[in-house]
Amino acid sequence: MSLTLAEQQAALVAALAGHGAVPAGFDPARVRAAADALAFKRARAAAQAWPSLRTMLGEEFRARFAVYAATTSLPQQGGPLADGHRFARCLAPHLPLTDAARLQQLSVDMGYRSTPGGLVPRRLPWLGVAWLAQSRRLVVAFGTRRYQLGLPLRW
Amino acid sequence: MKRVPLPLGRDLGLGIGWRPELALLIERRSDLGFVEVLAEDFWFERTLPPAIEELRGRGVAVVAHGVSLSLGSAELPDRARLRALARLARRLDAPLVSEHLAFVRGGGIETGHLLPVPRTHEALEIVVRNVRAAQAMLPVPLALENIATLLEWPGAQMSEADFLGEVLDRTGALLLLDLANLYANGRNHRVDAASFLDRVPLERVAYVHVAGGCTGADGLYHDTHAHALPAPVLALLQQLTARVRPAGVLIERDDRYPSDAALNAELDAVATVCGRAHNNQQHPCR
Repeated sequence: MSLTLAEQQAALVAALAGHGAVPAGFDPARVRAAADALAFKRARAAAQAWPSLRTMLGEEFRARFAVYAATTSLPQQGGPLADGHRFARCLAPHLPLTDAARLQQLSVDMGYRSTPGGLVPRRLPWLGVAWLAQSRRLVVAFGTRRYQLGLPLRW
Repeated sequence: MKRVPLPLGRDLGLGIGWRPELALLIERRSDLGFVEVLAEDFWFERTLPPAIEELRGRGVAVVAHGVSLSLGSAELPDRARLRALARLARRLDAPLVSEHLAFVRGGGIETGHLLPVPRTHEALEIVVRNVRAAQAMLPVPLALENIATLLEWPGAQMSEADFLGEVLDRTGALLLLDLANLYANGRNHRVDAASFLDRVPLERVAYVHVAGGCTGADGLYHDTHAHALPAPVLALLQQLTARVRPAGVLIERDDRYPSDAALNAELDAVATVCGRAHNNQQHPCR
């Protein structure tokens, strides 16, 4: 039984994401090369969008991101920013975020709403609160995607 | 060199992909005729960056270049994405928008990557339908870019040049001829560049892309946009200008940004090949 174009494309995408077998007729080595290129590109884009995570994880970024990416698809909305946001959320229970990473997360939460599909820009100004564990400060922030004001409180 | 009417009715000139990291270099470069912005970066912005407004103010054309329409998908392009692209084109006063002959998602999964369309008659009908649907919602002409791919679908019924030619012929879309992608496919699939240039409708070239890449440990050539322009890509540009004078040639650089001097040297090299030398005060005659 021949597959529709949609089914054929879905099968190829699944193979490239590491979730499915290489479809019949494709060169497995080329599909593997393409899958590796996609994985590298995805990780690099997320690292560039989240410099605080890149700094926090250093040499471990690639390996930890690969674990996350193996089970979580690229979000449909929000691109690398949304991908890194989801990655940060996955890290948080096991690995406390540095203050810089938590602040970047707060900044993104100010400008974007999290949805199952990814990140959607907020239309209205937002109020956010974050606890910075390293410096033991509470930060209250207010603003939009572009203009944000944060007030640290220490005790 | 063949003289053909400019598909857009205007010259675009020398160009470079606008990136925030390159904003200063672009601002300082006085001979740029156009830049390209990545459409998805600007969809949700109410105002354009001051650097873009400044370029528009001095007469530099700004083209909106999309990567997420997925015109090669089995499904029709998403209307919300098309509306966003149309809005951006109007805000930029863009002379055209460009996208890719590719698909980027399937089975509900985003790849964030441009994947090739099977070159079958069935897929051709679907792509033609999708391109027409996109054109109906865009206020300016649409140009389609040929992509680089590491993998190939089995069962191809026609060459890439013929598939592309058919799509352009049946939709009236323009061609964004990516010579770096042509070079990459030549390296990885033995596509003959000269035959490709012979067969694609060069009179439809709206503008040209050039970019750098590298050979991986896997022996394959990767179109990275993160390395210097290879001599063979400039040679392809030379071959193209022997056939037709493109209205615009644009360097794509996305990563591992070099020094200003290095990037300016690349722009100079492209300008020289196209006969648009930096010091040439005379407007290029056609």
